[in-house]
Amino acid sequence: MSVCRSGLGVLVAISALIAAPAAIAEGSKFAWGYNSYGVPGMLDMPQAFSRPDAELGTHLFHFKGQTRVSSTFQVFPRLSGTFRYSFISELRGSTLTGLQTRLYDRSFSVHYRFFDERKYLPALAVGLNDIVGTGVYAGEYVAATKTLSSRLRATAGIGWGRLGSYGSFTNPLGVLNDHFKTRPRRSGDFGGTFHPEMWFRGPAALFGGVEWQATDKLRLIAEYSSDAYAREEGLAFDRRSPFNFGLAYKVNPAITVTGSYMYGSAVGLQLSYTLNPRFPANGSGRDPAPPAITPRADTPWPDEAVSDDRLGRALSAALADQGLTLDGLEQSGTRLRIAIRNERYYTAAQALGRTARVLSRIAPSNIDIFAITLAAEGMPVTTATLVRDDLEKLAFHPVAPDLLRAATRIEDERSLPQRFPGRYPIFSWGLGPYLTPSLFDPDNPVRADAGVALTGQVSPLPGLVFEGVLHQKVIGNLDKANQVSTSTLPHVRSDAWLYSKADGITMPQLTAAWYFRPGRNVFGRVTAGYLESMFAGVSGEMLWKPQNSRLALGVEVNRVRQRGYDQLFDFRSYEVTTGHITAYYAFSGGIHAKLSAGRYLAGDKGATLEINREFDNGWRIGIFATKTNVSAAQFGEGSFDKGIRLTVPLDWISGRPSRTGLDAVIRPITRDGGARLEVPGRLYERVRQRQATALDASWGRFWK
Amino acid sequence: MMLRLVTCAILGLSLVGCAKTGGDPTARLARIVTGVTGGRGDVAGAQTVVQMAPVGDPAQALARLYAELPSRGATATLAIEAVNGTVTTWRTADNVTLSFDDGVLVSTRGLGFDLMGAGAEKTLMALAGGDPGPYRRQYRYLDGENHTAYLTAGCTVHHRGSEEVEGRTLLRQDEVCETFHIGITNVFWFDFAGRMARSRQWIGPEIGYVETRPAS
Repeated sequence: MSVCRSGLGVLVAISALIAAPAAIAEGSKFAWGYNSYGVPGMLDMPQAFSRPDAELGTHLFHFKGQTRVSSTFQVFPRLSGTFRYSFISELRGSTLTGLQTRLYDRSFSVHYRFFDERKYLPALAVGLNDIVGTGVYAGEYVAATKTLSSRLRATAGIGWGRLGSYGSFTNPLGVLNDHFKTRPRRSGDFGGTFHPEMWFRGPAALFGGVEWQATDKLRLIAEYSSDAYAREEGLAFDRRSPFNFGLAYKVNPAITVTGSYMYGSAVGLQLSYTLNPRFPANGSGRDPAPPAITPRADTPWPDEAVSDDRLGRALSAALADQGLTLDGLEQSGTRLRIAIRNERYYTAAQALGRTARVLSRIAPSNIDIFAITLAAEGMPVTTATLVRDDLEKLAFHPVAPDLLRAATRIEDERSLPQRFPGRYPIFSWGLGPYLTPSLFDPDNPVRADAGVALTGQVSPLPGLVFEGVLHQKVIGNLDKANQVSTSTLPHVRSDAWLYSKADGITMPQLTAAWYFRPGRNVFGRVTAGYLESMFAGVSGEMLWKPQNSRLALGVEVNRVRQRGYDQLFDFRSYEVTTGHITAYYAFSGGIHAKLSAGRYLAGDKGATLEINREFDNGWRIGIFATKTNVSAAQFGEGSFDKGIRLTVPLDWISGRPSRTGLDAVIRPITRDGGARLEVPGRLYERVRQRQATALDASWGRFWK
Repeated sequence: MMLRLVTCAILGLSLVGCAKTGGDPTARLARIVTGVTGGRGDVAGAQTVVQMAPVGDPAQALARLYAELPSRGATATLAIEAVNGTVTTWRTADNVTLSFDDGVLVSTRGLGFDLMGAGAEKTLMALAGGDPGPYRRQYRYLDGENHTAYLTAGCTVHHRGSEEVEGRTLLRQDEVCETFHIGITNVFWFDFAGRMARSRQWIGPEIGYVETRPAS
């Protein structure tokens, strides 16, 4: 106790000596760094500020016997979440008895700033570490941080759990209720569940520190830690002091390197890399400039009508230059309607704009109205109707986006304009590399297979698509997992490593799909064949999604049979009918929720909730969790299915137009309970990306 | 890529009517001719003036613009792609375009942090000897989330008199603009025939300025 007090006293005294008159620096709600757990903080201890909204930070921290890789997302201006994968060489069990070696541990943290800094009052934040993991890093805190000058900050806080393990005293929350005074022992469970009964309970301890921004690049940090490292002390390292000292050097706005002397015995090194989905390196993108809008007098046919065939050929060629495909065309008086497929631009508004520019150059001069139908796999979704004169007049208007949008009609579309000869069948194919990673499994942080993928697609009619994918593995170690499944449920996912043992050519997909419009605002799909690596069968889906509606409803039913491990034409005996009713809702602020209820692959019944924060440039970061009627014991390690989903559009990285998005799903562990079928071509994303809500969100890109 | 050259109809002379005829000699000379002249680029020579070039004029079709982005150390030669009213769009071989409304930059594409649009009307009037300001000028951008973002600046035009530029005497006018964080100075040089001989104009915070003159 006395050590605790004197330690904090020294730090506060240092602060007082160095501090200039109190001032709240501009941007003082932003933390200057991340701590070793990837939480906004100092070295090992948290502080109260937050990082800039939407920032995604990735951190590698190592000190003696411990390595932590963490990824932190500033979900909202006040709330951040951290996923952490840690390696600990040796530690004691939770009761400080027994010994665990080479522990790979996954954990989550949350940090919430609930009070903003005032002139005389500090910012306040509350946080919880390791909330659904094994509890190795479990601890809670309330931190207060005050800006003392534009270059100096001080933090003091109180911690519980691991953060209340050194210099501890009776929990002050005990005045509210005696049960706060003791921290219940965590019973032997399967991990992966919340233990709110433990939060903020048991002995508490104080921590604190000061940060001095010595130069624009260099920050000096001193802190007093309330973590006793009781489970590691004497094993992974020797804890000799509660004081930590560090230097953080900002190499550039994205990279910070922190060196530290931790607990009087070990040197720590941390590398932090941050990016923000809101600020791509290439701004709005280095897309090749679009064709200029041309007055109708300059079109190839200024004074004559032209046949659909001739016009179609000219439009096809010009649209192809823009990465767009003409699906159909129809002239009706002064109105020209065309349907396009967009294979190049992530946002439909940009495809629409480029199409309008092409039409301005090529459409005969008697055409006054352009109607552009956006289609997905030959299925019409939306028609945007523009007035040609508006395009010409507004092309260089300072507020062109707003004025043009006000003059543009966007509505549901159920039919395609007539096809012109030679458009169908459409063939396409691709040959390229593939990578199948498996991250953060209990034995190895990174496993992956890599090889060559051949894809082919044939569309004989609008809406009808035959598609196949072949893989030839070249290198990889997914088959080395050797995690023989002990699951008592049907092995719908837990035998994944057996599917990775195939050395020859595999066929992850061979399907026939039909996309159709059964009614207004209703979309349909039927897919049959080898739907995914592990299952084949028939899948049917209907989606109701009006233009401009925040709500969409979908129903999907699948009858599937498990495929053989060779991923060719063999089957195993397991068959199941699986399906879900799904409600999608777009909240304001880019928050999208998806709630599905139904029957899962193992025959279990339950629901999945997925919440994403989406950005109008295509980035998506979210979490999901599934709870079914499978008990935690039956599910096994992790207790229930959950994970993180991340989508990064390739054009955000490269600055070049691309419809490709890099999708990653990180599950702490993949088991058989709550497992869903992977079906190619699900409707919701295909439809909503082409509807008014998405077009409006990125309408400025019409002119890009 | 094959550049599609479209004939240029220069309409900037319509602005002559806006010119003041007061005591400032430069104001009388502020006849703004779109971008550059055709041909070989000796813009000082009165014989090279291109005014109201007829459609299909091969000399105009061969016009070239030289542009430099100091912040990127990049240079390019551009050819006319299209003319829409008073706006001429120029394109590089690698598909970057610059659009000028009677010589005032109003749009770029293909640069990354593009200028999506900008007002030019009051600038043109001020350069032609009209009200020198202050007036408001609006710049439009796309942010990283594809949202339209506007930057509004308060601007005034200053006549700086004659100036020696690469061995030629030109008349300089500065458009000085202030925003909350950024000071902008767009510089326009005119020859004594009143044609814009070269310019240095602001694209945006990330890219800075583009310098243009007829390609020789």
